[in-house]
Amino acid sequence: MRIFEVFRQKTPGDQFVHVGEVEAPASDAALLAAKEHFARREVCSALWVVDRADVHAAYWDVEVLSAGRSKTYRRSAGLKAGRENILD
Amino acid sequence: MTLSTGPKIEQGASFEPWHDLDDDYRSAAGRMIEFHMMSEIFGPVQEFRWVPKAPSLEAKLIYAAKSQDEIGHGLMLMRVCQDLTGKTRAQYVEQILDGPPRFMNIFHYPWDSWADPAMVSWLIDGAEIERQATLTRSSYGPYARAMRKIVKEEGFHHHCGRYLISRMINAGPAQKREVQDSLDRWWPRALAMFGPPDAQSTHGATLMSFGLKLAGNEDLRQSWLTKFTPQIHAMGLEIRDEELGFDDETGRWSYTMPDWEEFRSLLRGGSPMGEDLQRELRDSRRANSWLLADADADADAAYA
Repeated sequence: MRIFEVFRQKTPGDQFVHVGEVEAPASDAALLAAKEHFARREVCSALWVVDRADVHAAYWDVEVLSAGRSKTYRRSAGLKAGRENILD
Repeated sequence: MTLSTGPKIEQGASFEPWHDLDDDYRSAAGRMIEFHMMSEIFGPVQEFRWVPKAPSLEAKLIYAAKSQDEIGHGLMLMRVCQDLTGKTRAQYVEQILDGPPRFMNIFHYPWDSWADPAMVSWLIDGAEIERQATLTRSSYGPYARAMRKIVKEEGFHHHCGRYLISRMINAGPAQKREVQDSLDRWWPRALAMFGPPDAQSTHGATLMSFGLKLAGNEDLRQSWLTKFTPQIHAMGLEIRDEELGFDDETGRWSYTMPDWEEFRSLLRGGSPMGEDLQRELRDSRRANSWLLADADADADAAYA
């Protein structure tokens, strides 16, 4: 038996979101189990299963993953900048 | 995945299976979630028996969907347990089939009429929501995430239980008497389901200190009483508990204390019903073994 991570798309065009895992001997069986588990009540337009062995996780701590937590410079006032001068 | 130390145990910390978890934390979480998993697997075995006895096609569809959800919860929690304890699915299946049948008190009682499955959906699934809604903030990440899906579905079960009960009450006086009789039997069991007051609870304090459990048994029971007492009265039913009352000054409910000896003996020692459900699971496993063997052989061939 292998573990498959399940990704669900709610409506066409949406991103695929991780919703859980299933255990199955092969990917086609995993898709069937995923359909029963995660598309039974919830809206679903597409399903992916990914063998957990193929998931590569970053091992860095949160300090590294969110390096430079102050990211205000990425949201600069852009469009407004300099307006005051024009109005003057 | 690589081990990383993960956050320290404190208010609001969240842990993942790949964190280097403290042994005490791991075993406390494993014990709590295994118990929950066992309840979700054993409960529906009793529920399946009532699907063919449902009084209408609509009731049958509702109830079949509900019991399928419960098995789904059991499988999701088994996945959570496997990553936490390192046991395999085969080991858990063995534990379910041959280990002591340990699960929630309410599945140890026999069900007598259609009012019982409907009553359990209404009162007990409603009670489960109280507890599980707090567990969506549990400190073990995979459990908290599973709980979000589970709570959503338990909400549906509670509503369908209320609907099935109201259909039965409106069907005639004989059916209403059956419902009242069922309520009389399930009231003390529902109160007991939350567990003994916190001072007497064996693992409660440890689980709370680890952030695995977020609310005390008594607080959850009180909150359930506040919601359900008016719901039950609105249904035209009588709560035959002479001690039941609300104290305006303290804001707390009083009620007849459930029999905690009976509660503990069911949880520890099991029951004839528990053994019966386990026997049914064993029979069903034996009957399906050819399919499992075929699936495994197919998979082996595909990945050879």
